[in-house]
Amino acid sequence: MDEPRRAPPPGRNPVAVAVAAFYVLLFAALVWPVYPWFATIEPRVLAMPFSLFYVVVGLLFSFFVLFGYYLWERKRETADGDANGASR
Amino acid sequence: MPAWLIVFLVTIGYLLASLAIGLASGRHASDSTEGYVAGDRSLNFLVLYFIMGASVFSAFAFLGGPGWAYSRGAAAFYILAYASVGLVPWYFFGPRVAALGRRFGYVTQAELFAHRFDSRAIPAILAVLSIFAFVPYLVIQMKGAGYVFNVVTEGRVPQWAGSAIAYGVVLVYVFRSGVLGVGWTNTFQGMFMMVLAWGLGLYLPAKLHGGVGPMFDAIAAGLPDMLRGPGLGADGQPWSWGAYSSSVAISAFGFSVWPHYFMKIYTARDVDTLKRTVVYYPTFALFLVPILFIGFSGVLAFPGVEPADAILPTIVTSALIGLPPVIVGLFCAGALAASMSTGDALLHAAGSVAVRDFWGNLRPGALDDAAQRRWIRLMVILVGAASYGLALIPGLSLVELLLLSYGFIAQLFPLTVVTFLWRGVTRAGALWGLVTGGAIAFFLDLALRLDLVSAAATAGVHPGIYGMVGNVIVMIAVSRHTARLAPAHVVEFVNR
Repeated sequence: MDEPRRAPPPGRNPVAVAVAAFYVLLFAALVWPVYPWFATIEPRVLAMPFSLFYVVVGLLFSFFVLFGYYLWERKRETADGDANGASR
Repeated sequence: MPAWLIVFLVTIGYLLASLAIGLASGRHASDSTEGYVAGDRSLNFLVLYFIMGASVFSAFAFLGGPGWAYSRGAAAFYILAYASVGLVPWYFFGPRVAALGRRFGYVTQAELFAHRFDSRAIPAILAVLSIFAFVPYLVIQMKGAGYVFNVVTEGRVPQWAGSAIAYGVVLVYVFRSGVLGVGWTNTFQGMFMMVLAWGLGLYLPAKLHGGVGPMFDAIAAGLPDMLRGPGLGADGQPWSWGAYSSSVAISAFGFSVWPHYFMKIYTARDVDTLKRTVVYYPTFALFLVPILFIGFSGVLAFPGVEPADAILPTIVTSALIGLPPVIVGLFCAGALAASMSTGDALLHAAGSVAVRDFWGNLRPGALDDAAQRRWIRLMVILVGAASYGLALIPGLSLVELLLLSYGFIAQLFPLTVVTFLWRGVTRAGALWGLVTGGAIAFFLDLALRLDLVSAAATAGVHPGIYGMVGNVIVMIAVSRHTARLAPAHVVEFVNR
């Protein structure tokens, strides 16, 4: 079993800071005073009242942003690994 | 064969399958405390995903979710809101927690804080409060299981027997297989619940209203306040935005630090497994949407169901719907799966926390590894029996106790953040911040219940949020005036 790689603390990585900031904003968008603007019945989307659709979109955003960040991290780790291999 | 008997047999079939999976899964674990509590740190993505996913699908979500949608409308969306951000902090601190756990041998949450702050008081306090938080949570799951059994067998299986049958099975596989039993049964139970949630969530609106769209049309025309945020309060009047928002906040902050979930970080095979679990988590939370549809489908078709949590079993067993008994049986099994997949993790964590964090702190080194494992198993039985005893007391209101414990658990969030991000926090700062936050949450809650403080004075905001503010202020103030921990020690946790 591999020793897990030590992750860089979020403070060092500007992309991580941006992702963390996104989640703070997402949280803010789901509560007062932002959500009340969107917690209406109309317009109806995919049969749902807008108040529900809005929260579901928040959930999907949460998934896609972290998924994108995860793929980016993996790509960067692979690139780092290749660079280390070449310099050895 | 009478319908109730078919339902009963399908349910028993599900229980036997859970038992077989639970017993078989423990065979590969090592004979050690690390094997029993942290699964030898070897869990793969599939199992970890379902352990965390099943956490959302507790008896509360399966029965309470439709109940909230049915009686309080849009207020129920708060569950979706907190589920969309609640686990994200794990992505950032989880890999550090897992790496430290592997290096220093932690298997519980409190062991991390004990080491970070070089404190015996913090883990002991956490252990006591965790057990206090777990028991009402567990009792609710047990009551839910007994209740479902009772309703679908038309009262032939009394509630006490239903709880005993379901939790007898849980006790056997948790006792025998530890966290691996929890993990693999949750995988089975989770898949089961997913299929059932979507099946019923789309079928019932179609059957009762001709589809999800016509269902919401009818509610919008008759009871528009139900679909506008923030929905209705428990009294049927429009809820306040302060209460809605702080419910999202307190649940979101608490979610990533509940001790029985937090300790699952140590079970991950590697960092990638842990990260993928967090990434895919919202895909599981999406299954709450059809669960809410079920509740909404009953608003106009089944008015006046009391208590509101009974709406799902009421609809499923109603002659109006005419579901075949096998499907009703599968529903019953799904509701039991929701209860059991949460209850098993709680039981397992309660035993581990009581022995490792409480006893291990009072008498360090008193128990060797084999003795620890024996005591954890014994505690699993004792906590299970005590909770079952409480579940038999009629009319005991535990939901309030649970909400109170949420207020306390959320106090662990600031502590977790400073553990990894702030070198300057001291042992006294961490301890007094925690104590202050917990005390504010507790006493403000009490004052609100006794009408010593009006809800208007707090803007409807959850007492735990005020606790968190007090927690952070005291933590910073005390840390500025007390002795710092050795930098060489702190750098193990905060390396920037």
